[in-house]
Order: sequence, then C-alpha cells, then structure tokens
Amino acid sequence: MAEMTLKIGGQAFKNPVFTASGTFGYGDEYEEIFDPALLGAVCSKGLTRFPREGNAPPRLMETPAGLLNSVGLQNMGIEPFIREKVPQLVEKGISIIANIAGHSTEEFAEMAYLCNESPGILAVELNVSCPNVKEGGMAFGIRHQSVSEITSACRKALQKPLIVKLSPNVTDITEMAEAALESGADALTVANTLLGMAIDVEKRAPAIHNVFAGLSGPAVKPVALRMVYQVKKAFPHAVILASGGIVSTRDALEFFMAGASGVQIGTGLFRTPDLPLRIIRGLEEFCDENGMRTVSGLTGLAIKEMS
Amino acid sequence: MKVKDVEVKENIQLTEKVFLLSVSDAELASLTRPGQFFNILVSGQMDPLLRRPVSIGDVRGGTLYFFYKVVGKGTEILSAKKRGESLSLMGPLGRGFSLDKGSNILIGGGIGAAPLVYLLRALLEEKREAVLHAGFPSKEEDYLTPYKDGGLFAEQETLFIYTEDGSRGLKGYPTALLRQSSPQAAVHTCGPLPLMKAAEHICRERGMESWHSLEERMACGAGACLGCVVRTVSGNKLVCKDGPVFPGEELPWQK
Repeated sequence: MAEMTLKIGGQAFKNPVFTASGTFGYGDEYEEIFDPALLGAVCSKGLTRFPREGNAPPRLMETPAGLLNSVGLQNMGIEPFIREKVPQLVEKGISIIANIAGHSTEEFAEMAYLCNESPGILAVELNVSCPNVKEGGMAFGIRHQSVSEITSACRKALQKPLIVKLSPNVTDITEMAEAALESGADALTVANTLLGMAIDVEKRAPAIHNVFAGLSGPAVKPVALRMVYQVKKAFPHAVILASGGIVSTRDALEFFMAGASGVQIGTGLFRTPDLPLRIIRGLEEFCDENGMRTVSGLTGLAIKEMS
Repeated sequence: MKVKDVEVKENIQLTEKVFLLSVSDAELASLTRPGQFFNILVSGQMDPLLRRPVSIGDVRGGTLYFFYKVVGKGTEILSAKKRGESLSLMGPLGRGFSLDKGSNILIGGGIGAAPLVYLLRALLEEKREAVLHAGFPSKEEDYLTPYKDGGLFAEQETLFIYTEDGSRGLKGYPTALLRQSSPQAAVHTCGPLPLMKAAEHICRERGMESWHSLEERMACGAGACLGCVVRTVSGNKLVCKDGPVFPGEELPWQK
C-alpha cells in the first residue's frame, strides 16, 4: 500500500485529503455519514475574532456545474471554537486546521496566537481570500503587500504550520504565492472561490442578497488547476493544497499532477457526502496500480520541464 | 441521516406539473418523521450540481412517497425516472412537525401541502384530532384528490380542498375557517409565504400555537455550509438543520 502521509512544516497528516473551509461546518456535521477522523484534516469554518451573523439570505445560487455562495463568514468566533469545539473534535480524533479571517494584521496575529496556545489545532490556514465580506478578506489577498504583512505577523505568533489560502481573483497568482512563501508560509491553498454573480430575471435583481458571491464546483476546476500549475512551476518547493471543483479521484489526480501535494474537497461534498473517503481510496488504488510507493510521487508529474 | 441508493417504485404524474415518486425502503421509512426531507441526487451529470431537497409527502408501510413539482432542470430530470431506476437519497434531514397537541389544523398551499399529508397521517395514528385544509389555484393543480391515499382522506372528514377559482371544493384560501376554529388547536402550515404569514397573523390574534415549514435555497442539507439561513427572533437559524419547521413565535413576521 502506498504511503499517504502529507507533511506540512513538520506536521504529519495521515493522508493528503482535507475538507475545505466553509463546506464541512466545524468538523463533525457529517459524522453520521462517515468518520471525519479518517480525513487528512478538516479545515474549520472561517473563524473571526468575534462571532459573526454573516450575510442576509439568500446566500446561495446554483449555476451550471457550479455554486455561488455568499455566507459572509457566519461563525461562533475563535474563542468559543477553541474552548467548546476543539476539545470535542480532538476527543473524536479529528485533525483540525483552524481557518482564520481577521479584520487587520493585528487581529490576524492575535488569532494566530490563540491557535498557537490551543494544542488541538494542528495548523492554521489564513483566509486572506474570502470574497463575501466588506472589510478584509479578499481585499487583503489581492494585494501583495498585505499578504506579506499578514503572513509575517502570523508567522511570528505561531509555532505551528502556517497555510495561506490564496484568492484566485488576481491577475497573477504567483505574485501572491511569492509574498506568502517569502513571509514564512509553509503551504498554500490554491484557491478560494472565484468572484461571480447571478441575476433573478423575474425580480430584476441580483439572485444573492450580497450581490457578488464566490463560485465553486466543477465549473471552476480548470481555473484552479491552471493556478496550481503556475504556482508549482514558479516555486518548485512550495507545498500546495489544491481546491477547486474536485468531484472525483481523477480530478484529484489532475491536481496532484499539476503540482499539488494535497487536495481540499468542498462543494463536491454536497452531492457526495463521503467523497473524501472515496478519493482517499482512489488515490491509494491509483498509486498501487501504478507501482508508486508514495502519493507524493504524483506531485508535479504533468509539469513540463520539471518531470 | 443516511446516504442510500434506492430503487424507484413508481413515478406518477398527478397534475400537469406535480408528480408522485415512491421508493420502498423499510429502514428509511422507519427513520422518517413528518416535516423532514430528503436530498435527492437526480443526475450523474454535473448540471444540476446539487441534490434536490424534497419533503417527505407520505410514509405507508415501508414505502416513502414524495410529491414534487417540476420547476426546473433538476425536477425535470427527476420526472423522467422510471420504475427500477436507482436514486441516491440523503436523509431524513431536518426537524419535523410537533405531534404533541391533541387538536391540530393543517394549512397547506400548492406543493407546500405535501408534507402535511404525512403529518395528517401521523397525527391520526397518534389518536390526535387533525384536519388538512389545502388550497390550489384551480382543480387542475389539485394533486391530493388524485392521490391514492390508502383511505386517509376518505375515512373521516380530514381533507378540505380550496380553490381560488372555486372549480373544486371551497372557493377561496385554506385559511378561511381558521378564525372559527378552536383556539386550543395547534396550527401547522406549509406553502407560499403570504399564506403562512396570513395564518400566523390569525394565530397571533387568537393566541394559537403555530408551526411553519420554511423553504430556502440549500446546498449541503446537513448544517455544514450555512447557506440556508432564516433570520429568527433569536438570530440566524438553518432551514436544513434547525428547521425546516419553526415555531411561529420565532419568526419575525409583521402583519
């Protein structure tokens, strides 16, 4: 059987298949369907310094092979998460990555520090790419300077692996990747949702209350795949967690071959709730059938001039 | 909550737009309570991407019945399913109606009357008093009269049909008799928002307990994506997990 372990900044995860932030609740919402302890890790719902109500409904709109969402970081706040939720998840054997979203560099650093002090949290993912909040979020992730500042500040506050989740809503994703890597990121999540919208023709109005929303699902896969490839080619040592429309083992394989070291499953869960387990098994089988001893051997196989 | 492949038993057209899909599965049938729903995967293709949330219309023996209206691509595909085809069901999901009250008035409009059929059955089985008032624009849209209900509606005076044009049953809306009912009865509604709000208004005036089954665009169905929120007097609630049935007093519905 192929070795499935993924290492990020010294932390080992049992396999490279994670659930994406915002699609898997706080971590145990799907436990009646499968045991979340079997996942490489669960990226928590995006956490803010204080509880947030999120955006007014409607928050969702289905599009061809895609889903628009504008939840707006509704969450319980980082302190209740650490105090109440983390111990429950640890008890269940779930590997937790805290996804954090600050209003400012200082707030990001403060939250990174709180995560550092919580032994149950294995790594931190910086959300500098949420398209659905008025302040912060994507506004940080589309500027080289703010990605650098936030990553550096969190790096100082955190002795655990640091992952930066990049926004795809940029002209050149490698600039943002460079900013994060130079400032101490151990890994990059490529990428968050693409900014989009839909219009309700009968109502002559946007279909989503907040007007703009983040597009996910198979519709965005080619875009995310291109970005993973670009980043890996520019930074061969970068550890990339790919996220964008993965609904099958084949999709996951494409992302590995484009340069990913791990994958995050999100919208696909809503069709196939046990999709991550199917992909874990599918990757193992593919490696075994192709005589590969480690899943990491897949990374970047399709990159020209690298393989 | 289970995810299970089941076989289509029947998929019958009841009106121009409303179909009745049935599946036999003793386990799912035994788990299901009135007011809950299932997320149904209608296609192996990626468009439509999401499962369709469909309320449970009735349960008899080990058979589950879903009334659904063809409103878009997903339900169009569902309507073409033939006997013996496989269908992935996820559920039962959500919290259903309360069966606690001795006397119950059920008010449904259009396809929203569907979950009230199973509620009516469950209440009568619990030896509660229950009557279903169901409204439609005209008799052409009434899918309950053609539903072979196993005697549910025939046995007692349990179903009153209303049509806006008077082509069947009573002319008008299914809230017509609510003001004359016993104020001790609990009211359960599902249907268009104006209908539920009208019922809630009367319930508040008369101090009646009320429950409403709400609808919102939904993705995961399991409380994970936080997409289907409804704003209540005690903050955001999820239609999929905290509902779809909510007590009237929780809803910030002004007159």
